Amino acid sequence: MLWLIIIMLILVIGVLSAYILLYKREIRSIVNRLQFIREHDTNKKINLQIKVKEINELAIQLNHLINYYKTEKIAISKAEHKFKEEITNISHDLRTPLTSIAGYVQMLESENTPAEKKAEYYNIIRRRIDTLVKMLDEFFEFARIESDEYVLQFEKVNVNNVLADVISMFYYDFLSKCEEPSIQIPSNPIYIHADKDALKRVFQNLIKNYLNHGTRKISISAKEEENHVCISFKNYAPDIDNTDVEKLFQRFYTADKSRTKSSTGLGLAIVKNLITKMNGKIKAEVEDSILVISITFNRLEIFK
Amino acid sequence: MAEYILQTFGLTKQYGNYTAVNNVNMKIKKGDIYGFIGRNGAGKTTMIRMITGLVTPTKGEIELFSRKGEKNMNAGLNRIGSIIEHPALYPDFTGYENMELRGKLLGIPDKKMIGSILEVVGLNDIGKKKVKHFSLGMRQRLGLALALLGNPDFLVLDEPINGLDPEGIVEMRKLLKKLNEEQGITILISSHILGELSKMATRYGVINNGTLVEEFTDQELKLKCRKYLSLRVSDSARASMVLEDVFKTANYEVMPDNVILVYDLLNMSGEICLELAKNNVKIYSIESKGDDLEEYFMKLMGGGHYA
Repeated sequence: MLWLIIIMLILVIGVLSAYILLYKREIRSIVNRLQFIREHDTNKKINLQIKVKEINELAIQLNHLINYYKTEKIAISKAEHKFKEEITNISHDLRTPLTSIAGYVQMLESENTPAEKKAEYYNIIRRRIDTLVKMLDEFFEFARIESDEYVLQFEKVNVNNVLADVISMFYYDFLSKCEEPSIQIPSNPIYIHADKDALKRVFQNLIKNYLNHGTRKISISAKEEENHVCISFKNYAPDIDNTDVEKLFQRFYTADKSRTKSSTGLGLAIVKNLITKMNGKIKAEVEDSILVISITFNRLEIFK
Repeated sequence: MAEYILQTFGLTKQYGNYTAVNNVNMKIKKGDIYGFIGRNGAGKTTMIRMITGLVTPTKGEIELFSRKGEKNMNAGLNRIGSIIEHPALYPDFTGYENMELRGKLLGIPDKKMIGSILEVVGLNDIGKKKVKHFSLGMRQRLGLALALLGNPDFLVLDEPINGLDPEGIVEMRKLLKKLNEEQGITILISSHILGELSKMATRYGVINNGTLVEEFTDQELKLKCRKYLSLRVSDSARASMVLEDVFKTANYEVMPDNVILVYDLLNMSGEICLELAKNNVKIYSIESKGDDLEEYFMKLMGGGHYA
């Protein structure tokens, strides 16, 4: 009887120590894996050799943690990459005009340059500096709008009024383009909940964008639909296809790759940002070489 | 942080007298989508088989994750997910069952992983369809899902787009881009059709007759295929002024080291030289650049033999 008990006990001890050994091995392998993950830039997670409830749960929790750490890391490196790219873009945007200014200054310093040429060069330099200042203003404006401190002042705004005001501001610019714009704005007021200045800036940027890059005439229209209002800007743009359209609202995107015009590629990015902040929607499409940028806002109910 | 996922040094594979891969030095950086292009029989699959350890090279070395040697090679292979030719699937099982089986084999603790990976590849609502009834595109996606189950750092895909319909190609491209961007997986993808890779790859390697003809980045390719004049001058400030003043163009870019790229005036290089010289600007070099993308690749791949 005693022997039987002893044999039973030895068996139990044997089974238990086998269990302990297995557990130890599994924990060792988890430790090794964790160390590997810590030391390498890897997607690897913790895998198990045996299926035991507690260890399994431990592994699941650890994997969640690893996942979290990994996504954070990728987000950071993405942001870093983006930042570097933007610095490169900015320096690029500044280098070309500055170099040409330096060239004109050299010519001014030269004694062989006739006086009337000199006057012309002064003019060119002044204009270049003006556009540089404008560009820097735009960078600053963009950074300001992107930051969290920029708060919109929402109020009841008549879209039609704002749109008509902005269009009239550009009257002479339209004339100098020799194309009379076609404008369709309903006479009754359409109210939305928005920031008036931000809305102005949106329309200004869209018109400036056309003035800088568009050809032929622009048509601007505001339309009431059931419970929203749709404002669209259409102009002929043969150089843009549908793949470019998606990038139109990205910052620093300019369809003109040499970036020589005074555009920073920020105008439309600002537009998109402001529209989103005002809970509107914006999209761009190309149909038969016509670029259509349309904005929709929810209309405010009119209480009488 | 130029960390290389894969580097090969003089990698060579001979079958008898036939040299399938000849002295290849391939470099794949972390985060790349490496488009590996070559005609059929150029040596792509042999190369990929060597990288994934299915074939031992006759000569040369492979460095995986910055480590060399056989022991490290095996550790490195654990971090690779691959589909070579056709994905190995159990035809009588459903997609989920296939995944479950692989998951058990790998010891994946959390079964929810299977669902989320199937969702990533777009196979989450296929129900109880058996794999033998899958379309080619679905099989490829399941193959990719199986490869992803091991949480790979490096995906090696041999002609994954082969035989897919245009819609399938677009989806596969989107999927691979997403994996690359969101999970930071480095991808090697081979193809004999440039169009399949050109919207996705960040780096290219072109192989012809077993030799790696050229490696270049996406940006280099874009630059190669844009037509422009590249001028290296003594004084870029004065040169840019001359371009504007005499040629009335603003379509140029000033690069560092007194290099100017002119995008207009492509056939006026002679006049540009003359005017710059008149204005005391020395020209160290002037080159007309720009190739047609398709033509350029045909040239590299030795397509001339067929023309």
